Amino acid sequence: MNVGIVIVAAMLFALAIASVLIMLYFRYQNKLSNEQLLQQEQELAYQKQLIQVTVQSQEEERKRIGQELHDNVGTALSRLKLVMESSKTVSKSEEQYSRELTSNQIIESVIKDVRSISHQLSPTILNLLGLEEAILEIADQLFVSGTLKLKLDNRAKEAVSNLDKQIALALYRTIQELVANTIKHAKAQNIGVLFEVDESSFNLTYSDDGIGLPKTSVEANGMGLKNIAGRIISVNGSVKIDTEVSSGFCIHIKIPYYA
Amino acid sequence: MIGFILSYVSPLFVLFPLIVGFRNYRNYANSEKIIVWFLITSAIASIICVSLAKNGTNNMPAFHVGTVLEFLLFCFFYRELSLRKDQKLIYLIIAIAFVLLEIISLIFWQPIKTYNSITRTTESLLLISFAVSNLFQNLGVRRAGASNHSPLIWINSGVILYFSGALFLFVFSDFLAKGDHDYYMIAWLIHAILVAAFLYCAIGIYLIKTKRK
Repeated sequence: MNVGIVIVAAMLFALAIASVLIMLYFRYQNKLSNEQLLQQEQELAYQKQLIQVTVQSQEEERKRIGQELHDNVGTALSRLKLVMESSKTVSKSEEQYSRELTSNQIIESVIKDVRSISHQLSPTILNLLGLEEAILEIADQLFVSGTLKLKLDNRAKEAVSNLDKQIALALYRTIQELVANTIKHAKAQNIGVLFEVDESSFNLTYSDDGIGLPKTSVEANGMGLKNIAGRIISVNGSVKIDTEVSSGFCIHIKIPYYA
Repeated sequence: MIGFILSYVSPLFVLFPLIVGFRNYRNYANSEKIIVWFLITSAIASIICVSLAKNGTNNMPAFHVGTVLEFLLFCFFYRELSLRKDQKLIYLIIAIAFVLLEIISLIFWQPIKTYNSITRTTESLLLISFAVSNLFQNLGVRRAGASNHSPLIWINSGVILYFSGALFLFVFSDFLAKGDHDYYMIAWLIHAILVAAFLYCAIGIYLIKTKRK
């Protein structure tokens, strides 16, 4: 047998073995990568589920507390007011009259506060009239308080009225949180809320003309921003914050939406 | 035809990765720069070998020098990749030992104008083992993307494919040269095709470039 052919065959054989081993290596590594990807996806889905459950239980608890306040504390205060009014004495001193008046005013104020808190905790207006009206109610409250002006620009009326209840609630809570942040930190005078839709998403842009935030604070993700991100992620949305010191605060929220 | 492939097509396989390698060179890590230098050395060695052969001059000295440079560059490439100090030292010792082997071989066994089958064979065995051990070290490493996006796997694959295919040629080249000329030419033709494994280095370098982006 010719030795030359054996050597050439050996070369080809070695090459074939090396090729097969490399192919197997590639396949094994790809399998590992796919497993890793799957694991990451599962972890992400689990985290999302966890956020959803947390948000849901938080909402239920708020609703329960809101109802308790409205039904029990609110009713008890109204009854107290009635009792006080019915026990008014005809002849009373000026001091007594003044005390009664003050007590009535305090009770009146507490009833108002309880109603306001219970409405915030369980936003009836959102369930009854929808997101737009709920935001307008916040705008009214701000206007009455005289601290801030909130302007709602709704360019997606149909989408807003068709929004899923959970999404509407998430957006409402987000706006509530953002308004609270603006009041507490921004030193702003105007707030703008914009609703828009594009081919695949419902977009909310919230902006104020306050002092803004340094980027590091956004990256550090304070409790309020964390809550917002959690709520939006729980409805498969995404958040992008656009702010810098002394140039106001702006947040873009995108939620998948197909008309 | 075989002569044409051996003379012109085979060196082209080196030129292509070289073009890829020069782009974005500044951003490469040391190990990646070494691979580019290996490609440059290979390209120059190929050009010198072909030119000498065309002039009817013995081109074996170029093979001797090319082998040492090629091995040293790969040795330093794997040295750069290793994280442990003792491993780095081992690569350094092997590099020095290889240079000594080449000198001893030149003096006693295979003079400058003969084919350096001893050092080529040793080089092949060592580089295959470096590449295989590097692949095994990374076997359990989980990556973000698919394995065909890993530059290192491509470069190691190129090394293994080229040197395992060419190993028998290097071991038996003297034997083949004395035997049937046709098989000798076929063996070198296979070698010329094996040089296509340099394209694997090109893919590796290209992937480094895209990853940095």
